[in-house]
Amino acid sequence: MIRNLIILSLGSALINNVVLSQFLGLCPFLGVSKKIKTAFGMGTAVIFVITLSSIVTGLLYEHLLVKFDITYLKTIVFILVIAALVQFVEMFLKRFVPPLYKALGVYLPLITTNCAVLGIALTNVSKDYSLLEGTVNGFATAVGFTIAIVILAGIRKKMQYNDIPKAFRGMPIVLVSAGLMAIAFCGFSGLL
Amino acid sequence: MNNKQDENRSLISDLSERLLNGMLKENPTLVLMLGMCPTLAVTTSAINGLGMGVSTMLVLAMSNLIISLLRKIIPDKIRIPAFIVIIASFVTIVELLMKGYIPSLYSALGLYIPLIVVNCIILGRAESYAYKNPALLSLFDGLGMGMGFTFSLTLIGAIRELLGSGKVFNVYVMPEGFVPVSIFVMAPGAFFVLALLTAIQNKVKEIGERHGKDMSKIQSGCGGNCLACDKSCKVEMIPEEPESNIETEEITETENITETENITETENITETENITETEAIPETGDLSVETEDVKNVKKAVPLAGFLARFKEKFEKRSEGSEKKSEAKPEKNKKKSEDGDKERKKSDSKSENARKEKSEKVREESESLREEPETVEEKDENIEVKEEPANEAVDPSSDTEISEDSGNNGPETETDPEADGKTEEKSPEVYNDQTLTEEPSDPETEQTKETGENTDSFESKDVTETPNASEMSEKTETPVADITDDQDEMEIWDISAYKRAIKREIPSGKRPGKKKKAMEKAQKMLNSALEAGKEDNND
Repeated sequence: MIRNLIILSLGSALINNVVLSQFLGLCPFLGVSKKIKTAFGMGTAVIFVITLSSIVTGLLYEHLLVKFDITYLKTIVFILVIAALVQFVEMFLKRFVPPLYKALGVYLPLITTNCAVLGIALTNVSKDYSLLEGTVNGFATAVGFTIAIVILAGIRKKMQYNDIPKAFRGMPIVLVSAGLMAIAFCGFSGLL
Repeated sequence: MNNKQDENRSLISDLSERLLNGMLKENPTLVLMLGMCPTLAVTTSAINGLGMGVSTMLVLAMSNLIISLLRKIIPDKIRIPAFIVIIASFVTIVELLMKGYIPSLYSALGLYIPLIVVNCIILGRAESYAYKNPALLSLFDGLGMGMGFTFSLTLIGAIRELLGSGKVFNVYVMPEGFVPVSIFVMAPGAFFVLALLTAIQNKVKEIGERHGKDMSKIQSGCGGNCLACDKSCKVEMIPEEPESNIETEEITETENITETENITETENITETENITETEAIPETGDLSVETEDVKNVKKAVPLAGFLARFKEKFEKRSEGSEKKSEAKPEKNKKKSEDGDKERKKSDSKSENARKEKSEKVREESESLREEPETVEEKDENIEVKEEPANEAVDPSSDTEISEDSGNNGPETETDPEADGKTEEKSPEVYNDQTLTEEPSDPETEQTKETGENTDSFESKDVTETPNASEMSEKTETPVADITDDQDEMEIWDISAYKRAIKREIPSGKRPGKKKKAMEKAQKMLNSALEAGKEDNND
C-alpha cells in the first residue's frame, strides 16, 4: 500500500513531471521563475492549493457526481469548485492565518486559472484514484512543479551573466533551458 | 434599397475584418502568445494540432455567440463565473461529441480537451469582445480567433511531425536518407520549437520597430503576461479599449482579490517596458561610455519609481474609494505640510501645462511606444525635482533613491490617474527644472518647453552631462534601464517589493520609523542593484 503510494508519487513528481512532460501550469512556470525566492513561494502555494483541491474534488466526485450519475458534468463542477475554493482559502487565510497569507497571498488568485489544478483533478478522476491516492498524486505533482520551477529559477539566475544572441534574449532562451530540463527529466523514466 | 445593400456590404466587411483580425493581426498563438499549454502539449503531430484547434474554435465561437446574446442579462459582477459556466458547458459538449465520433483523436488529446476551459484565449475574448459586441460579430470574432489558433497549431504540429518523424499528416515526405530527430515529437521538442518561434517573433518585432511600426501587440512570450491567464488577456486589449483597464480593476475588487489588481498593473508596466526596450538601444549611443556606477543608478532609480507608485497605490486603497478629484487636494495638503508652497504652485502649473500639451500630443498622434519611457522618466524627474527643495542634494545616489522610495508616494499620486497620453509631454517640465535647477521658476521652463518638441531626451541629456552629471544620469536612467532590464523587471519581484514596503513603511509618519523603513528600502534596492549588475557585461 505504502509502496504503491511511493511509486505513485515518484511517478507524478519526477517521471511525468507536470510542467516538463505534461505542459500543465506552463504560464507560472515561465512567468514566476525569475527569482528562486518567488519561485519557491509560488511552488508552495501550488502545493497547498492542489493538495486541497484534490481532496475536495475527490470528495465531490465520489459522493455527489457518481452518486447522482452526472459524471459528465465534472469539468463544469471542478472548475467552479476550484475557483471558489481558491477564493475561500484566500479569505480564510487572510482572516485566521495571517503569516501564511502573507507568504502565499499574492500567488493564490493566480492559481485559479492555472490549468495544472484542474488538470490534476481530472487526472485523478480519469485514472480512478481513490481519495488517498488522488491526494497523494496531487501533492506529489505539485512537488514536481515546485522542483521544476525552482531549478528553472536557478538556471535563469545563472543565465543572466551569459552573452545570449539578441533575438534569443528573454523568453526564447528560457524555453530552450526548459527544453533541456525536460530532456534531463526524461532520464527519470528509468527510475521505476 | 441602396441603403440596405450598403448595410449588408458594411456588415460583410466587418465580419471579414473580424476573421482576418483573428487569423493574422491578432493571431492568438503567433502574435499574442496565448494558450501556450495546449499549444505545446498537443502539437506532436499536425493532425492532433488540427483537432485541438478545431475543437477550441468550436468552443470559442459558440461561447462568444452565447455570451454576446446574454450580455444584457448577465449581471456585471458575476460575469466571470457566468462565462466560465458557459465555456465549460460547450467544452463538455465538444468532449462528448469527440468521444462519440472521433475516439482516436479523443484518446490522443485526452486531458487537454477538458482543459480548453482554462485556455485564456476563450475567456479573454469573452471578456474583451463578446461581452461588448453584437452576436453576429462576436461569432465571427470567435471563428477568426479559432481559425488563427487552428492554423498556428497545425503549423507547429506539422513542423514537429516533419522533424520528428519525417511525416506530415501521416504522409512520409522527407527523402530516404532522413533520420528522424525524434526529440521533436517528445516533450522537450515542444519547448525548442516554441523557443524558435518566440525568437523569430522577437526578430520580427525588432525589425518592425526599426521601420517605425507599432509592434506593441506582439507579446514577447507567454511568461510575461499570461500569469493570470484571463487577466492578461484583458490587459492586452487595452490598446484598443482604454476602458477595459478600469473594468479589470472593478472585477478584481468585486472578487476581493486585492492583490491581483496591482499585479495586472505591473504586468502592464512590464509589458510596456518590453515594448520600448528594443527601441531604445540604437538611440542611446552614449551608453557604452558610461561607468558601472551610472548603470547601477539607472538600475535602481526606475525601481524607486515603481516602489513609489506602489506605495501610492496602497495609500490610495487605505483611504478607501477616493476618486480622482479627491485625491488631488489630498496631495496638495501633504505638500503644504512640507511648507513648500512654491513647489506646489509650480507643480500645479506644470500639471496644467501637461494637460494642455497632452491635447497637442494627441493631435500629433505619437506612437504608443514612446509613452512608457516618458512615464518612467516623469517619475524619476519628479523625484529628482523633489530633492533640491527638501534637502541638500545627496551625492551618494543610493541613499537618494531610498529616500525617494520612502518619501515620494504622495508626489507621484497623480501619475496613474493621469491619462496615459497626458504623461507624454510632462517629463520635459521636470527635466528642465532639474537640469537648470530652478524649481521655483516654472513659467520660464514651460515656455521653453512649448518651444521644444518631444524631441529626444537623449540629445538633451548628452549636452547637459558635463554641467550636472548627476541629474543627467537620472534623466537618462529610464531609457537605459529599459534597455538593460529587458526581462529582469520581474513583476513578481516588484510585487514582493511592494509587499515588503507595505510592511515596512508605517502609516503614521514618525521620523524614527520612517528612517528604519528607508534603511530597509535601501537594502532592498541594493540587492536589486546587485541582481542587475550582470547587465554591465553587455
